[in-house]
Amino acid sequence: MNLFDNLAAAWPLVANFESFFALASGIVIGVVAGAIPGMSATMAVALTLPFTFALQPITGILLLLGVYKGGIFGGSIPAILIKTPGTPASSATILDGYPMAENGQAGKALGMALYASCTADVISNMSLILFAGWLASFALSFGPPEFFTLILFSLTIIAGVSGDSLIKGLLSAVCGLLLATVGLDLVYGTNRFTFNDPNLMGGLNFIAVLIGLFAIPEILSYVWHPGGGKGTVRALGEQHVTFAEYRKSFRSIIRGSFIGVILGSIPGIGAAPAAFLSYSEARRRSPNKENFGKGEIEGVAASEAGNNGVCGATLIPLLALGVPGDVITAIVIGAFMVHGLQPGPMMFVANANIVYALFLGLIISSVLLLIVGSVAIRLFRYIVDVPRSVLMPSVLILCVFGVYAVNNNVFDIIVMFGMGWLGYFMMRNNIPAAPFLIAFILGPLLEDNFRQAMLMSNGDPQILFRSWITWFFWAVTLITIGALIRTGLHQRSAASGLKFASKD
Amino acid sequence: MQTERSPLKLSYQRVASHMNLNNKDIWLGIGIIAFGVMLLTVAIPDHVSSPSNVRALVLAPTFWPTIVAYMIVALGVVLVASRLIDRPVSASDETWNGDGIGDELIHGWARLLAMAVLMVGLVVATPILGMVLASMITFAAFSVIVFSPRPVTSLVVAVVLPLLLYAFFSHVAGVAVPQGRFLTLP
Repeated sequence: MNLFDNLAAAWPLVANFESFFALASGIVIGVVAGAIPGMSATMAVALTLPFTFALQPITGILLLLGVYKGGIFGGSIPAILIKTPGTPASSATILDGYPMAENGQAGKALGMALYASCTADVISNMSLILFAGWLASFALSFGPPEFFTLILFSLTIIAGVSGDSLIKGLLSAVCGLLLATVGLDLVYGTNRFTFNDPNLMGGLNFIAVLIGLFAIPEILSYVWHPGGGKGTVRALGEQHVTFAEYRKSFRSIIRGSFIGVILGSIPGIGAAPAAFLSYSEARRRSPNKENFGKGEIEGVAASEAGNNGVCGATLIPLLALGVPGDVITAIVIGAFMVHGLQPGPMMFVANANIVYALFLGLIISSVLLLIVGSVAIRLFRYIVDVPRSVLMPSVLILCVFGVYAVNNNVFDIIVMFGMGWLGYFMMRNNIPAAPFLIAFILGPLLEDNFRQAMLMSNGDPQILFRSWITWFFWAVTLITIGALIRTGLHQRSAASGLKFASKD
Repeated sequence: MQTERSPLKLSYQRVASHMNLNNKDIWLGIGIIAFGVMLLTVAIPDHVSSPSNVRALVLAPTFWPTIVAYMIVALGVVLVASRLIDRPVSASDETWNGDGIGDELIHGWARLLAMAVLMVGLVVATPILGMVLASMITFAAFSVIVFSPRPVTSLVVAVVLPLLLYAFFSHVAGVAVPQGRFLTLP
């Protein structure tokens, strides 16, 4: 079947009230969660996940994707209104969004953020539809050695770019790999770190680990310093973006969208670097470059196009290769697994209707985001004002109910709290949590492919270099490590320069 | 009125902040090395079982955890060495706002301790009081720990939210939410 046949076959799965309602609800939840300082798109997706267990797979996954898209756009709201990014991806939006709000143009900045987000979203979704199937058909020729090297490359790049330090990123990933070994051995069925506790024999519950890592540390961080992190909410002021303003920024929006698509399709890079790169390119090429940073509407458009351009593209490696591109898609992979689906090239063969239904759902979500966003712009001011003293305990209770619901087991709550304290420790020591979670998810896959390769070759490691694909992934892994070390050394020498300057 | 701080003074503060971070990282690295060594000497030999008929070393259940443990030790050594060789790490480390000072620090740790007790209490209380009642109490206690400036709102949400979640998970998602010994909800 060609692309259009697949889309036509998938249409009935999406063209129903449940799917539309799930998408719309997801976008509303995402926008609201993204708009509340202290929440994030990641946390919103993680907290929504338990609510999808009772839904059909396609409905549940569409709900999560709606939250994802809404959350990324929602993050721009506090960035513009109170100079606090709702999600890291919105950090670049502050640069011009907040000065616009100070000039009484918050509504205009939010409007441009919405239009740029929706445009980028459409481009990103189209890229996903065009490239995911092609990549999946190519990946069908992958065997265990190819998958092993691919996952190794993905983990390296995720560990390297997630935090400030390559060492800490790698450390986080390695600890995630260690945690993934808990449970019964994949080949021999023997115990590994189970301490004779039957609760540990199936390994640690993925949802308990992810909610523990991404929601509980935020709560503990608030408990440590309850008074911090709240700015003054700016008035909406002038609310409409004109078509002329949109047209003037259109080139930056398109450029930013493609930057988002390219960076989003590489596992690990994520939305924040895409937003900053898009912003800096827009400034470099703009005739008004001196106005950037002082309230230039094109700056808001570029950064929002950059971060939303990533949304659809991060699903390319997830759906085509089974490798999550960032933390949110790592959570989405959990939703697939809960419903008995394994993303990857085989999914395009065995569950093609679900894949193409998701594509259609994503296209519809761009339209819904535009509608929900347009209606909600006037309400944003009140969303941003939600008191954290009420929000944080609510998040805690949501976590408890959500994690318990996975297996009807209090042990999962204990795991969540344990991971929460670990996540808080990591947060305080600047160790990124994203490599930990992604390594925890990919760990069994990495080990399984390694051992399958070794079984195929009777323990001969030469099988890991058997084809040009494995050589390619080894090469890009080494290049990535080299580039990251080089960047680290540059930062170190720059910082040393600062130290000597201060001594003088 | 806020006083201006000279760039030189700011630079000194940044370097001091980096040095604190480096010392912290050195201790972190030492802890990581100790953890890795503990894995290699105690946890893997005692808690990872391997059958005697394994065809090749690389297929043994102990192989992967052992490799991971060696990587942990190696990364710990690299972390310590890198922080000993040179001091500053990266510009974004400046975002860490320190551990606070004096009373603020003590209060912060006290709140975290109370939070840990609250979490243990929630786990222990859930089978006895039921998840709904335990959650209500936890919510209220949380609000006390952080001295919620909106006690009435907190109290209302503390009662309503667990009931709503119970209604969804129990009646829509079909989850058997623990009921407890004293309160049975429909």
